Amino acid sequence: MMADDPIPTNDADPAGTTTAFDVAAAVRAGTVTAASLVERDLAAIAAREPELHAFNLVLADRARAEAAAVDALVAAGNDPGPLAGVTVALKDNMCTHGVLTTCSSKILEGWKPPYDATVVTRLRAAGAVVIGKTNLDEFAMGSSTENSAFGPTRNPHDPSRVPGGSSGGSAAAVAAGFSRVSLGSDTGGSIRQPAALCGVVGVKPTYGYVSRYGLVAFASSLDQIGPFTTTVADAALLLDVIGGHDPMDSTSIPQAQPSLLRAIEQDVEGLRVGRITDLPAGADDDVVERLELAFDALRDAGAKIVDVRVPAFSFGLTAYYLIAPAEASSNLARYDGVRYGLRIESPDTNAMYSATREAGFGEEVKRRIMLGTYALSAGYYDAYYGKALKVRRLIADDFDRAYQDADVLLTPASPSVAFPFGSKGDNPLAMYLCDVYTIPTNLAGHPGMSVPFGTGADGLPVGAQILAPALGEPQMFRAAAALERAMTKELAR
Amino acid sequence: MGAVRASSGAPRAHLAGCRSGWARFVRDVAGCAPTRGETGWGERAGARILNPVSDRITAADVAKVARLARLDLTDEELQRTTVQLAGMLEHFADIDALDLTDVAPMTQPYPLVNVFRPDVVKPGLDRDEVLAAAPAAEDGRFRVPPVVGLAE
Amino acid sequence: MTTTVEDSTTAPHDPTTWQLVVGLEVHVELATATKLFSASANRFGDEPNTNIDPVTLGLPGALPVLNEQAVELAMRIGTALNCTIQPCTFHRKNYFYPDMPKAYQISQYDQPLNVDGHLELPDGTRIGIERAHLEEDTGKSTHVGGTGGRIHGSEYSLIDFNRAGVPLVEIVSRPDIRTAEQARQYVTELRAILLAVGASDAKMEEGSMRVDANVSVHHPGEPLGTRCEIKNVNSVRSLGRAIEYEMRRQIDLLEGGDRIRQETRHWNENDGRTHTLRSKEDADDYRYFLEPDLVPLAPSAEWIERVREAMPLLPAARRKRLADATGVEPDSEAAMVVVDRGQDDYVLAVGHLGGDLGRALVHVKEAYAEQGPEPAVPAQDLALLTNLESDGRLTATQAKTVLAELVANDGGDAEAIAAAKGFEAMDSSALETMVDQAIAANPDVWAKFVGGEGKAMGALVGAVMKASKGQADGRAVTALLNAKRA
Repeated sequence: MMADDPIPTNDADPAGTTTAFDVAAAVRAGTVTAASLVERDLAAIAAREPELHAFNLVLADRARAEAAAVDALVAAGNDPGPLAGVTVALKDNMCTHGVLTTCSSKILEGWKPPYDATVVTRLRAAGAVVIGKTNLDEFAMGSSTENSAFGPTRNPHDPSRVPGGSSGGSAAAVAAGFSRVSLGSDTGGSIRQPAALCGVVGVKPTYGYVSRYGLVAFASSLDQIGPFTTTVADAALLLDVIGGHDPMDSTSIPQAQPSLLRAIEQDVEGLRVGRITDLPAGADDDVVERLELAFDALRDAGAKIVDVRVPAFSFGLTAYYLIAPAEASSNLARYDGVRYGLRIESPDTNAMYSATREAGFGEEVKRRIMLGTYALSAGYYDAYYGKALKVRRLIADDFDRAYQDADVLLTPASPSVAFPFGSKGDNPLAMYLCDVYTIPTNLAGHPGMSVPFGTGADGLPVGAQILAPALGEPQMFRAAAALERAMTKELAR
Repeated sequence: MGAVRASSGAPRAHLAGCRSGWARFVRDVAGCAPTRGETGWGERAGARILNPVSDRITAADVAKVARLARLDLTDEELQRTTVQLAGMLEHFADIDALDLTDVAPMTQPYPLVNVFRPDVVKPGLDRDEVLAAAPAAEDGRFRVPPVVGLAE
Repeated sequence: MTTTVEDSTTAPHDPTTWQLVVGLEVHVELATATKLFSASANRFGDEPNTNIDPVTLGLPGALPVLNEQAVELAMRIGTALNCTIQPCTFHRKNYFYPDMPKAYQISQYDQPLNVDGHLELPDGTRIGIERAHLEEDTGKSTHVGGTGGRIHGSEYSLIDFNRAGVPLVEIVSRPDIRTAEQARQYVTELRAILLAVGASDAKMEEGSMRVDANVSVHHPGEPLGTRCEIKNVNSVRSLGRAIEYEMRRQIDLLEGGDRIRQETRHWNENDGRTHTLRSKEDADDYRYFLEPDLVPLAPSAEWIERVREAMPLLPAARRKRLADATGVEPDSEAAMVVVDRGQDDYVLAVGHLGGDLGRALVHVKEAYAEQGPEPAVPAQDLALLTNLESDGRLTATQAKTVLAELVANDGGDAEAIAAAKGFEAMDSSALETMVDQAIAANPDVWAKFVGGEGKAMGALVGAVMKASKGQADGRAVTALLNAKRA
């Protein structure tokens, strides 16, 4: 930590203290109170939340109480932790003890988990202040947050457009200044795509880097929790706190991970940045232009640009839309009206299941449950699910070969900037294409992140996606920090 | 195109000629720009189907799947789902072009083995808190309507 | 047509004879402190829904983590059943049922932990073990209203999830069982093995051991018949009855020209019949797939070896050891009973202390039914008693009386007890005098005995017993008579 950095603000004027890094430093130093920073964020929420609907639930009173506890620690001479006073918004698919957790689904409306997700425990232990639960596509299935049972979230940059999804609420919350940071979950791009569309940093870590305990499962072999932040350093700070082994998650990587805050102190001199020459075409021109500039920026910063091929990349969508729905069909079977959530009373249990699930799930969720059930059912397993697992292997192998020649890869995070509501019509496949550049990474289990890199059409944000091999977070963050520095320079011109 | 073996370490050309499924959808139809991608579900009827399993899914199949998934789909939903699933499965035919015989399925994104927990009891959940969140409870237990599917 | 039931797998083709074929699926709850995938207590009989946690209840976001001790116990079972222990995985078996919290059961599918073993019945018959795999138990439903807590016609059900997630090993036999008696022996032997290795308390009445039987009949030499799975068998005795009933039912159907429908049937203890039970999932399409929340299990060679080395002597080996020491057959009632009670070490200890092993075995079998594996009577005391008998100082009848005293008082000095009872020591010269007197008093009988008439022996022995007021040892008298005749 750079505790001896100059503190740019004081309690009378916390407005300039916007990054988690600065907030934590100021609160720990006692120059700004967590309470005042929470009030600042609550004021921002009061001003724009009715228009944007980033939150399913704002925890104003709890946040104030948590902030007061942080301030009390500081006053008593204790260190509240590396996220002291940092407001964080949680995607509403992370369990919070005694606090509504809905997954933006009617089937979980009103449900208060009796336990906290591991990430929530770690955030609190680090002094963070949970300010609310954010909107998402129901059960994280979607790319626009239009599939929420509680209405869509709007893009802070243009409220007529989507924020992306499924973690649209978390991306919008950070972009709108409602919270310093937020957490999302990324199964096929649900952090990186909304980060790109909302102009914030979004990270999908290596599978197993962050505990999934308490994250309501969509597709267990693909889901990862990750941060949304305004800066790369904040993302590093947050991941250093929430990452690391958790004995409650069997798929959690046991080895200790190096500090990412430390990693970004290093530049990209000599870093090999791969350009995927056989990347599926189709990104909009404005996105492609910005991506070329990103390659230039990294080259200028000392990186070496190399061509690589990932031939199986374009099979990602197919493999994903067999594997993820298959796992989801099983993960979502527990919503049966027996123990929690919605129940439609019926004369017998079977009728209750069918009526409850029919009424409680939205159309996209039902579509994926149907697809997944079909893909796993007798007679079709080998043709669909079994084959998809093999394609998944091809994709991972192709990435592994590419990473022999490159340390990181650079692609668009989203094929386009934020799109208007309803523009995908009723064609699910058109929506699925939003994740064409993000999905293969989830299949491989690798990390990826989106970094804001300027604007495209209509002045809307464009995200550059940096991909890395498993546990390649340090080099991924180095490249991200370099892009961020280049953007700062560009904006200063 | 014929099936392309995917097992060699050399760069594979198995995508180049792929004429069905997503790969083509991505390349030819929409570009990748979803804002412009207006592709109807029915228009791919002529796509080359390389796997016999990609035969049209029927409404009866879908109804059976809905029963398995415990979804009480309306007739209208059933019809729509049948059309949509058929369209998706057609797109998935792109992987039928791959010879996957020698490819091992990937079942773990990160290779771990033998992850254990010690056999030590930890305090559990409070029954009252849990039952308070249940749709119906009685006598410290969850109450459900009568179970059918089992009869003497 | 006459119907006989043939107990042979290798019988030549015979369309007049029915052969029973049974395979057993036995679920046993493991004796762990916690559940298979979570840290809530694995304890029978607690208040409903008190041993619950997010994993047990299948709450959103909960994740399973494998209990190492459950694996250890499952490996002990596999080792005891001569299985190969192999790298394995967990699958999800998807079906809806109110006491199945996640609507899937985590089980093992195509890669189970233990495969290809066998269990030997006391008479040496080998029953193949196809697999013994780990899986989680379900909760318990209570059906309220309707008749007698039965599911049919109930008004509603109440669910207790204390049992949900309790570790089970499912032991699947090959269809090698040919009689109801063999099925009973298999379960009895299996239970003894489970207790011996400490894997389970294996109580059928509490449900910690549950037996399902796959029953079919066919004519020897023809393909196996269609099988029915019999559930709800709650004791070894019921198992035999259920199999016999089901065999009869199937034979009657077939002989009446009907076919057997493959189905699950429910044993009703009260009416002594099996009844059709509709399947849980109409299509029985469980959509198995690899559990993505768990990682593979691959016990190391060292671990497997450690389990093997720590194996206690199993019941069959203990019976053989006892049989070798005492001269009885390993499947004799005495060896079976004494090993079942765990009193074989005690009998052997009596031998080590110089006692008579044969007599000790009989005494323990007869008089120690209420004693546990560690009888209260010191082995030394029983050894002395057997020696008094061997030396002819106590008759069998007297010994029994003294033994009863020993058992009633948790031991004692057999000699002193005998003296107190007035069981006078009778030395061999005194006995011989009595025998000579008996011969002298009954010359005709003696002549017949010498002439080879076996019956005559009884009269002579009787005379000696009478003269000795029952104090003489019958066996010693017989030996003396035989010696004198020779």
